[in-house]
Amino acid sequence: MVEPTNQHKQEGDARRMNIAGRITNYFVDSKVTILILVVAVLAGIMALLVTPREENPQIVVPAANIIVTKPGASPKEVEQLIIKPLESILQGLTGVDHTYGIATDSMGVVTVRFNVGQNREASMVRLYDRIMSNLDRMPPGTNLPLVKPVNVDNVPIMAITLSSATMDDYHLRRVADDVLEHLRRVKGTSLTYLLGGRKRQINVDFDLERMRHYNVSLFDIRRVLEATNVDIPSGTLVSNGRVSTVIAGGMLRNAAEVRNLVVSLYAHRPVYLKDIATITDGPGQIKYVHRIGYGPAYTGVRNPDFEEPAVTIAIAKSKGTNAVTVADSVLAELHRIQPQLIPPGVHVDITRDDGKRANEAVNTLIEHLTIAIVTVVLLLVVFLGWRAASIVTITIPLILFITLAVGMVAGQSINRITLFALILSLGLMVDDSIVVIENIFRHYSMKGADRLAGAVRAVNEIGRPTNLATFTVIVAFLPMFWVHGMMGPYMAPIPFNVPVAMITSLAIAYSVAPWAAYRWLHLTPGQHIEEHAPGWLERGYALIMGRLLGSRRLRLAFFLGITLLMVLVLAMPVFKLVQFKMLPKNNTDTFNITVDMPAGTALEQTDRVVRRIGDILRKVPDVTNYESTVGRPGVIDFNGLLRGSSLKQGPQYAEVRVNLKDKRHRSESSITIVRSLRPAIARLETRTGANIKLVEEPPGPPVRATILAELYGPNYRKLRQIAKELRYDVFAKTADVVDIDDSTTADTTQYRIVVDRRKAALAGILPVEVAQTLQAFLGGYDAGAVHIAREKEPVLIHFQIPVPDRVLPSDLRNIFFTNPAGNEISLGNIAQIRPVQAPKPILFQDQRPVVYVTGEMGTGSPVYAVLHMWQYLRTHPLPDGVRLKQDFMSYPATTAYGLRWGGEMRLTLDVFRDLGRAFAVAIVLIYVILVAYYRSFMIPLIVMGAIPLTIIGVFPGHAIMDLIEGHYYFTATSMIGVIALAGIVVRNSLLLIDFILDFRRAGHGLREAVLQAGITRMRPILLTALAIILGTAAMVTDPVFGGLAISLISGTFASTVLTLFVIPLIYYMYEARREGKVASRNV
Amino acid sequence: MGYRPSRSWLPTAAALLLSLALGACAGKPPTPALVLPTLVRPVVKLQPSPSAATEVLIPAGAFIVRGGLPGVFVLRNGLARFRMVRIGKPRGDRLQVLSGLSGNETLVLGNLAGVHDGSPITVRQ
Repeated sequence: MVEPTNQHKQEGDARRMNIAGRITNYFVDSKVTILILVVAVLAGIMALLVTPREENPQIVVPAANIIVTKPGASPKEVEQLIIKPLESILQGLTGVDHTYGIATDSMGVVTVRFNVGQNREASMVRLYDRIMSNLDRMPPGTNLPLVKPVNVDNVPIMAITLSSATMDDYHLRRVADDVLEHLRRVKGTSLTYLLGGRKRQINVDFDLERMRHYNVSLFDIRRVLEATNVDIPSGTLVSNGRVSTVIAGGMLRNAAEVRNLVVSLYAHRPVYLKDIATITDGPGQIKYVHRIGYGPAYTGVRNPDFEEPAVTIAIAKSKGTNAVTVADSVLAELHRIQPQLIPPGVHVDITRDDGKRANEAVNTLIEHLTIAIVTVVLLLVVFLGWRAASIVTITIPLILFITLAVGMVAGQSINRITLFALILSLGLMVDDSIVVIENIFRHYSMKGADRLAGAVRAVNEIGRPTNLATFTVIVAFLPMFWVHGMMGPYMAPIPFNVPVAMITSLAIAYSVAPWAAYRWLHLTPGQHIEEHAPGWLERGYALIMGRLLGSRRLRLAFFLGITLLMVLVLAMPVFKLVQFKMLPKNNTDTFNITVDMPAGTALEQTDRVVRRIGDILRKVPDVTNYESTVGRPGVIDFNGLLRGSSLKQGPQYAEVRVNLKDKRHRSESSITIVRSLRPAIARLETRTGANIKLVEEPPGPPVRATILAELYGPNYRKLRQIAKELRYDVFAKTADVVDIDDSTTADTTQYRIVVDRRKAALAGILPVEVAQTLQAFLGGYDAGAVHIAREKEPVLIHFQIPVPDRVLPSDLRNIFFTNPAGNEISLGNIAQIRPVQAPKPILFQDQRPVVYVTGEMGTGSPVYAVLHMWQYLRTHPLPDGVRLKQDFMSYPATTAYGLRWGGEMRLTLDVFRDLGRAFAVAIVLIYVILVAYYRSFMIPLIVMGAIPLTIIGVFPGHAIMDLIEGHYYFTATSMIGVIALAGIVVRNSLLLIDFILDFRRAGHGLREAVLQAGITRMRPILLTALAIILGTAAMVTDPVFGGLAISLISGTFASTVLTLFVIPLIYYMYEARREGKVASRNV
Repeated sequence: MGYRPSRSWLPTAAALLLSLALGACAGKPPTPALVLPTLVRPVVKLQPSPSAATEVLIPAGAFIVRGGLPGVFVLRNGLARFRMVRIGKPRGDRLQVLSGLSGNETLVLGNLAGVHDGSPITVRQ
C-alpha cells in the first residue's frame, strides 16, 4: 500500500521514469497484455493438469547396500576383514554422508548413504568404480561384493491385493501372475513384484531310509541332476542349401521327467529318483505368510473368515512420471482385464494408491486455497469497494497460474508444500496490486486527469518503495534454500514458490493491474476522499499516539511495558508454555505395525501374535483393512526404505499394514487411533514377549527412530550390556517414551557340526560334502529349474528333507555320505554335533562399532524426553557404574563409553540451526537492502525494530493453541512462519517510515509528520495484515503446517498493532535527539 | 470392488466441485459384519503330554489345510479360531505338532470344512 512518496520530484522529472513506470507505460494500453492474460491462464491450467503431483516433495537420498559374504567367518572376523576396510574405502568417496555396517555370521553388509540431493546415477557409478578398483584388497575366501542400490523410485505407489476365501495362496499367486503381466505393460510403471503366495516348484522330498537302502547320497543326486538338466545349442548342419540348428542335451520339462531321472545303479538296475523321493509339482514349503483382514469400515463384500490368504501386486512408477496418471491407467487396465483374468471368488482391494492420495492431498489444498482467496476477496470488497476489489481479484489467479507454470518448467512437482507456499504468499501477492490500484484511484479522483498518463504516473510514483517492499520479502525466504539434510528438499518448494509468486505479483501489478484499471476503473469525483475520511480507528489512534508523543514519562512507561512483555514472552519456552518439536505428526490414512519376536522364534509362533494383532484391529471402527505379512516385510514404503526394514527377513519378523477410512470421512485422526491402540498392544507384548511397534508415517523426513541413542565404546560386549541398562533403567522410566527397543539380539542356540578331519579323511569324505549335504538337508536346495515353456516364473527343482524327519539335532546323525569305496558313512561317525551360542551381529556407524537404543514418542516432543534423559545421565551413573559421556552433534571418542543422541532430536537441532542461520542471513540481507535504499545506517535499524515484535505474538499464539488443542508445538513450520514474518513486518514499518520522511520533506514538523503518517497508513497496513491473517487461516487446521499459520496470524496481529506505535515513536525519539544535538551544537 | 479410477483428467474446477460434493456426503457406508451360523462340533481339550514337555500331539481329525496353510481350529471365547501349525511325524492316529500350539488348547473336531475363522461353536458333548 504505497502512495505517492516522491511526489515532490514528480513535476521535475516526469519524463524520467523508473522500471515500474516504464513497464506500465508499455502494457497499459497494449494488446500484449491480453495475450499475457490468455497465455497465463492456459499455461496455468496446463500446469495444474500436467505437473506431476505428489503428497510430499520427493527426497533423493542415493544409498546402496554392499553385501559381502565370506562363508564360515565369525562376526568378529567379518568386522576386521570386511566391514572395517570396506567402510574406510567408502568413507573417502565424495558425497558420502554416512556408512552403516552389520557384521553377522559369514556376511557383512555396509550401507552407504550419500548426501541428500546428490545425483543418484553419478553416485552409483562412483560407488561401483570405488569398489571395483579395490577388489584386489579383498581377503581370500570372500565372494564378490554385491551392490544393491536402495532406490526411492522403487517404492511401490500402488498395491493391489487379491484374496479369496476358496482359493489357496498357490493358485492365487498364479492369478496374480497373469494380472501382473498385463499391468506391467502400462506406461510409466517400473519395478513390479508379487508378495505372498507360494511359487510353483518341483518338490523332491527325500526318504532317508530308502536312500540308505539304495546307497545313494544327496551329493550324487545333485551331480546327476546338474549334468542332466542341460540343453546346449551345438551348432548347425548345412544340407541342400539350408541351415538347421542342432541342440543337444536332456533338459527336464516336467515333474514326470524329474521322477524318472536315473540317479544311480543298484544291483545292476537303475535307481530312479522316484524310488528314493516323493516328487510333487506344486507349492513349496511355507517361508512366509501374507494375509488380508477387514475392519468395521470395509465397504466391499465380506468373507466368512476373519482373515484370508492374499497375494499383493506391488507396482512402482518410473522416475519423473506422474503418480496420479500412472495409478489411474493401472486401475483402468485392471478394470478392463478383471472379467477375463480374475475368477469370481477373488476379491480385489486397492491397499495402496499413492496417486489417489497425492491427488486428494493436492485437491484438498486447492480447496483451502480457494477458500483463502474468497476470504481475501471479501475483505478487499469491504475495504476497497467492489470495483477495485474485482481488479485485484483478477490478478490473484493470474499470479497463481504463472507461478505454477514456472514450477512446471523448472521441473517441480505440485505437492502439499507447494500449495502451502502459495497460501502463505496469498496475503502478500495481492498487496502489490492493491497499492497500484489505490494510487491510480487517487489519481483518477483528481479533477481533469488524463486517464492513460494518470495510470502510468501513479505506478511510477509507487514503483521504488513497492519494489523494495517486495524484495525484502523475497530476501527473507531465499536463505531457506540452504537448509541442510532431508529437510532441505522437503521445504524447498517454499523458497522457490514464494519468491516466484512475489516477482510475478510485482510484474502483474505493473502490467495487468493498470491495464484493467485504465479500462474499468471509473469513478465519480470525490469518492476516494470520502473513503479515506478518518474513522473511529484513526481517531482512537491519533488520541493515544498524541498522548505518547506529548509525554516523555508516558513514552517511557510504554517502552518499559513492551520490554516487560518481550521478556515475559521469551520466558515462555523456559516454563514449557511453548514447546519445541521438529514436525508434529500428520493425520494419515495408513500406519504400520512391526513385530519383532525374539531371535529363534518359529513362523507359527510369530503368526499367532500377528493374528492377535488382527483381533485388536478388527475392533477399531475406522479400520478398512489390514495386511499381515509374517516372515518378511510387507510392501515397502519410503519410511521403511530409510529405516532399513527390508533387512528384516526371517520367521521372527512380521509387519501389519493398517489402512484407515478416508480421513475426510473420519472423525478421529490417525494419531488418536494409534494412541488408543497402544494399551492393547502393550498388553499383547507382555503376554507374548513380542516387540511390537506402531509406526506412523513421519510428516517430514524419516529417521531410524524418533529417539535414538547411539552407544560407542571400546568393548562391544560391554556396550550391549550398557544398552540393556539404558533401555530398562532410563528409557523405560521416562514418561511418554514408547516402542522401546535396542539393536542387540537374544541368545539363540546354534548347532555346530565339528568335522573330525582325521576321521573324515580316513573315511574318504571331504568337509565340503558335509556342508553341502547339510544345507540341502535343512534349508532345502534348488538344484536347477525344469523348463516349462509357458510358465511366467522359473519352476525350481527343490531338494528337501520332509519336516518331520528333521526336528531334533539327533536327526542330523541319520545323514550319511557315500565314500569313493561305496561305503556308507553316517555323519555321527565323522563329526560331532555341539550346541553353542550363536554369535551375535556387530553394528557399525561411520566405522565405529555401535549399539542402538531406540524409542518413539507417545504424544509429546522427543526434545523434552531426550533432555530429561540427558539430565538424568549427567547426574546418575548406570547401575554398573558406567558414566556415559553424552554428545549431540559430534561422535564421542571410542576410547571411553559414550552416547550420541540421534534420531529426530538431531534432525530437530539441525533444522532449527539451519533455519536460524537462514533467518540471520535474511536479516542481514534486508538490512543491506534498506541501507542502500535509505542511505542511512540508523533508519533501517528502526525499520527492522518491528521484527522482534513478532515474537510477542508468535509464542503466545502457540501457547493459546496448546491450551485449546493440547500438544501443540512450535515446529519447523512455525519457524518458517517467523522468517516470513520478518519480510512482512519490515514491509509495514518501511511504508510508515517512508511516509514520515515524505511528510517531513513536504515541510511538516517532526511530531506532526509522525502522527499523520500513522493515521494515513493505518488502514492500508491493517488491510495487508488482515489479508495475511485471513489468507493463512485456512491452514490452521493442518496438523503439519498449522504452526506456520499460527506464527503468521499471531505474529502479524501483534506486530502490526505494535508497529503502528513503536516504530513511529522510536523514529520520533531518534530524530528528536539528533535534532537536539544539532541544535545544541549550533548554539 | 473397493476401487474406482479417479478422474484427474477432468478440469480442476470440476474435480474441485466433485471433491466438495464427495466431502459433503459421508462416503460409502461400511458393509455390516457377517453373522456366521453357530456350528455344533465336538472338541478335544489337549493335555500337556507326560512324555516330553516339548511334544504336542493332536488328533489327526483336528488338522486341516485352509487356503494353503496347515492349521487347526482352536476354540477361544466360543469362537473357532484358525491357528497355523507345523506338523511333525504321525504317531498312530495322532499328529505331532512342532510349532504353533502350547499344548493346553481346546481344538475343534468333526466336519471342519464348514468351519471358518471366527465361527461360533457350540460344543457337542
